[in-house]
Amino acid sequence: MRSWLKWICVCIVFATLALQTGCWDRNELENLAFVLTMGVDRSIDNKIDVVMRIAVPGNIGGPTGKTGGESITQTTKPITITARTIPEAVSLAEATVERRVDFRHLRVLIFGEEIAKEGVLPYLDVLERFPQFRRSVYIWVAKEGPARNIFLTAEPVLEKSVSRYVDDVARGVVRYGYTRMPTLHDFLNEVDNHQLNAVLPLVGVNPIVSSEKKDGSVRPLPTDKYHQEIEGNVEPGGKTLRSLPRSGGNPSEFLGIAVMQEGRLIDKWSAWDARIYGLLRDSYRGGIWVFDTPNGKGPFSVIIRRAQQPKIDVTWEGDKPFIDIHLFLEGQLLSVLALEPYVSTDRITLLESQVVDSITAETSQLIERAQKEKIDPFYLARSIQMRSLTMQEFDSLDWKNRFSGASVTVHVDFKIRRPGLRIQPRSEESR
Amino acid sequence: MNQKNSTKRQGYVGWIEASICIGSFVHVKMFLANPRELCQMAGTAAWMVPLIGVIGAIVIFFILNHLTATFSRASLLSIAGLFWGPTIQFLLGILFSSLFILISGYELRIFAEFVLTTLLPQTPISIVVISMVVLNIYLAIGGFESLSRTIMIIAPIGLTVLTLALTFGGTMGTVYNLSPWLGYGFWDTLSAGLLYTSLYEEIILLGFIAPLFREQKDFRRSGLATLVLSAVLFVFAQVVYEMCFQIQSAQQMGFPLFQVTRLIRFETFLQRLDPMFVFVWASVSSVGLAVGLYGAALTLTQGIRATDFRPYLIPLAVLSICVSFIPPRSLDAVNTYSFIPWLLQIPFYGLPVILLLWSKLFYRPQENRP
Repeated sequence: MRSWLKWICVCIVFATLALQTGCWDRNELENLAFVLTMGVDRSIDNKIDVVMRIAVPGNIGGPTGKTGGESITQTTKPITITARTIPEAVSLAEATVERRVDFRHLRVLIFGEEIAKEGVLPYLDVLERFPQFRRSVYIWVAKEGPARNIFLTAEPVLEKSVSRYVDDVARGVVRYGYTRMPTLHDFLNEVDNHQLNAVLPLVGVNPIVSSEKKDGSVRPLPTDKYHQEIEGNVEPGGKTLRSLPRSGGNPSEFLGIAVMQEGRLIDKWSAWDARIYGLLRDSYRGGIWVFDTPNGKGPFSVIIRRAQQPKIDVTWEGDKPFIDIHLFLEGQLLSVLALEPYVSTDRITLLESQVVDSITAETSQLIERAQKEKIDPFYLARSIQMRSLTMQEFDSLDWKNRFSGASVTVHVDFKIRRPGLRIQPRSEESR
Repeated sequence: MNQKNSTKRQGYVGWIEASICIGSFVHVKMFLANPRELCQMAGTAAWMVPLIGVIGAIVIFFILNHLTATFSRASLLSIAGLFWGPTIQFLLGILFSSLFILISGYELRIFAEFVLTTLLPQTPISIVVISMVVLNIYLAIGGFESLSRTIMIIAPIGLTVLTLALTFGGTMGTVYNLSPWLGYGFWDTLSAGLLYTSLYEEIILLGFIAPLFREQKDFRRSGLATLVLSAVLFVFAQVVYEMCFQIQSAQQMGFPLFQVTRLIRFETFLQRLDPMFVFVWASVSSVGLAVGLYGAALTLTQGIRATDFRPYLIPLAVLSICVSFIPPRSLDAVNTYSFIPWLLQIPFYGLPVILLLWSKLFYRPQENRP
């Protein structure tokens, strides 16, 4: 290269260094307002309320939050904007928040019950298009009422960081299985598959705990008053859609699932149903279950884990499908309340049979319910999909209708693998 | 034949370097909209399309290999000049140079749109395009040997990151999404595969850089390695993409592989890795586009029987910028770019076939040699 050309190049490089020191897309942390959670509710005049919980970075402390604020009400601030669309609400929020509103750290989007019944898909379009939103965002549905109630009442027991709170809740779901925690990506993938119904987790606000919350902190009721509040609630927690009988802690509770049809909420299933759903959908990994002992002297508790993926076989007789479902589970004994000596090779099968009978009955009931409603959130068509050759063949299956008339057989394979750290319980005689 | 002229001041290249260089040019489209287009064409069987396409490309490559072996690794344009005279060689040079500029220009535009959509929304598109082209010129000005040296530094990192990205991304997907196995049907999949032989059409560049190979076996190895490597990466990327997205979503996804990397999330431990992948992909794409620019300059040089390709780089780069600004919107760029390769495979694959036929039917070496 000629020497004058080299010098020109060097000059251009230095001029570039000097002149291009800034950039159009600079993102200074101190100029951004990170929205951590967002809610969408039906408002008046056919508008929507968009609730955004914005992080207050100065109040967020270290990993334990000791140096930061005391609760999420101090580490975050909720604002509600009423607008026609989410982008409009974001745009209007920019006019009220002194920093640029940013969604790159958004962890969850909550829909109110009413708007979920109308359909959530129109509001998810922006989440798919705008790159600040990630498909790893969780989508929740308020069990009753608006999502805003959840924002106003949520008071995590330990976490001061909203992001960690959401992540912890999602991890907890895998441990107890009372709901399912799909991300936006999971949900949209399910919505796109016309042979199944997508589900979303239900988030409820416990009325007792909510009433205990005053001035930003929860003050548990006296025992007598608490017992008055829960009187008449005879079913075990999670069996129905009723709120848990409890006092103190976080008013929000994650029990049950919202069954969706083309993005619309069409049914709500309880926490117990959600576990059965998880077994069939193969999203269940583990949880504590309680069953009555064979002689009815008191319940026993087991941790039930999924041993292997369920085997679903569909055969046809004309247009009628015959569905054979095998669930493979294993367990660990946690307690036998009656202190009866079931933990021996011959008697432990009594407990196992009890579990098998109970889960088989619950599964059959839930499948019947789905058949009546002509929905299949369990994705039982997956075995047909794997055997289909062409997309036209699978798309023309009209599975939900055919499933409604299907004959379903459920087999549960269950073994209590471990009795825990004690073999037989302490007997009545030894006491 | 004046193949030595066109390779003035250029060294020989090894077969691995040439494979990776041309492979990166082939693969630029994989980072753009290609996985989505394959899904639109073949549905759930889209991952088979690159496999079927590579069979056709291998046949074409063997024709190319036979031709270059017969003519001592002369470039295609030199052979055309030998058969049909300098006027046709000139016209073909202009034609192929224009086609390379057309490909580069459109890829440049879509790459710039990708950067603007995902990372730098406020930055003017001209800044992204011009920065990329300046980098392309810098990379291409040293010739193919220099390009291959650069890519040999980037390739190990790029391949590792790409493999990790796709492997991690694959764990976020499900195998159910790959079924029904034949997509829209056997014949639809087969015809899509044959149409998408165009995925590998950049392999024609080997015919223009043939004089840079020391031996014919290097040329053959390079071509086969390019095709096999490309096919493996295309299929791997397509399988992962389809596993991650239900087919209806997969057919509508903007910047497909970027979306796959955005899904990667192992609890809070490993997440938000996409900026790293974007950096690597930008590096690989910049080399790929530089190869395209180099190809345009080289074919023009060979067409007009000039001695050096370097003086044409900057004018051609300006032309590629102009081409990149032809589509008024990104949608037009993507739509046009989706069918351009189908048409381009006619001249790209047609030239070696016609030259081989001509050499067998009409060419008599003794008559033309002094």
